[in-house]
Amino acid sequence: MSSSRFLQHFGTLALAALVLGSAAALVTVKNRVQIVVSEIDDSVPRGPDPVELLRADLAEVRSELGTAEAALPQHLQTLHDALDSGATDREATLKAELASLREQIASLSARLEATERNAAAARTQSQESLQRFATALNDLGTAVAESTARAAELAQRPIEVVPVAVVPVEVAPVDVTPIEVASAQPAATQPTPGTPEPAKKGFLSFKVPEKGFRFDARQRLAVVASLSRVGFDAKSTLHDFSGVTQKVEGELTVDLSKPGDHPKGRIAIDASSLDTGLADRDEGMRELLESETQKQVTFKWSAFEPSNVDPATQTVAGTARGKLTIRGVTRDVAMAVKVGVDASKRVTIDGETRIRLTDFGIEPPSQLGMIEVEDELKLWISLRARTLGLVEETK
Amino acid sequence: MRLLAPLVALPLAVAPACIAPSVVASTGRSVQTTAAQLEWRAATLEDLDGFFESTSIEGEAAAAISRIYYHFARGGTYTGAALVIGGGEPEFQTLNGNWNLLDGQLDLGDGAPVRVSAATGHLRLESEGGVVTLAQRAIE
Repeated sequence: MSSSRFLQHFGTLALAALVLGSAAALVTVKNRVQIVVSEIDDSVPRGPDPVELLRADLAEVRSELGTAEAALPQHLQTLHDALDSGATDREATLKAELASLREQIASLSARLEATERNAAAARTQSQESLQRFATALNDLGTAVAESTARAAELAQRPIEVVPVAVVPVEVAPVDVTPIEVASAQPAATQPTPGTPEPAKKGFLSFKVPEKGFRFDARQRLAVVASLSRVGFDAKSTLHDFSGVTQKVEGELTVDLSKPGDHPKGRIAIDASSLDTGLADRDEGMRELLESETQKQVTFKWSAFEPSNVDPATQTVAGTARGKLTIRGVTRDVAMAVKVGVDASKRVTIDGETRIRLTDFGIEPPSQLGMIEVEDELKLWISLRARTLGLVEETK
Repeated sequence: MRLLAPLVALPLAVAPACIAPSVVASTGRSVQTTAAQLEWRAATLEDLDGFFESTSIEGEAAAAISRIYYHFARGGTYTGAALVIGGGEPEFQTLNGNWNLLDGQLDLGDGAPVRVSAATGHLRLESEGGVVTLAQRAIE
């Protein structure tokens, strides 16, 4: 049996069952349902009157309306209060903002006034500075004119030459004589004393210190041995001769513009290095000087009596005083010296004095009683010294 | 004995005529550097080779520089040292760089070429601040 056929039978049966059921239901309820159609009888009580219901509803609405009307002022007052509260808050905020703005305006006004005052003061100061500058320029022009006139006047005056004072040695009679200085070169390119030197450039890529030699400042000077010599000139019955050495060391402290103001220093030579040109004579000299034990001849410089100080040419002349020690014997000596500055800004010191060998316990050499060296000989120095830097001390 | 004395005295009396005085003249007491006696010529690349030590420094730089050393390598590099004084305690400044020689001008790399001359075993560098003469040394 196919499925379609089964559905046809099943539908037929369902339709029949429905018809039967309906008939049974009609039979069952036909006597229990009665429909009556008649006119309305007012005497018979019926259900609630819709009109009354409406009236009641109306009355209730009126009542509620009355209640709402009565409450309306209160609500309005509440609303008004609320609105007032918001307005008050807003007003307070606006007032605060207004006050803040006023403060800002006041502050800006104060700053503006201060700025105006400062500007006025600056203008006043500028005017005063300009006035002072103009005055200074006028003074400078006057000073330059006076200096020029003074320089012209001085240029026409003859130069007064002050003779070198000859001072005898305190212990031994030393004849101090001026000497000629050949190598001291007045440096025309030296800066004017008292003015700071300009910063130097490098030299061969090395950086040279800006603070170099100064004529007008107290400084330490170191003897440059390779450029210095110390010697003596002696007279003998055979012939005159000199003894020379370059084994020189020493350091001096002095302000060349004020050489008499507490100068100090020490110069020493190697006693065994003196060379007279004859080996036998040198050997005898070393025995006399006892150079095996008294290795150095020293001069301790302690005072200077200037006879001439010329910052323009950077030259100094005068008498250096100190203690000379030979073979362990110390005597005061005075030495005439001339000081200059060469093109390399090295200090040149040339000087000489006379001493007696016997003052230092040395008997003048003699051979066979016929070849004799004179007791008095000339001691000389030719030094070059470079600055080691400025010093602050005054003594 | 009295007969011998004149015999001894005779040569001694004649001797001063044979031995010239050896007194240093007052104008010759200062030290003269020997560098000026060298025959200088323009330096070549071959001259810049090896270790050199200054024998003299003249000019403003001499007041502040005591000694200078250079070593030039043929490859074009160099190293140098200078004992600088006058600025407090002495100090060595050292340099390293490349050198170049062109038309007698030695460029040490700082943009300021210096004139360089040569003599046997010597170099001479001339700059605005001075002149330094260097002698060639052996590195021991």
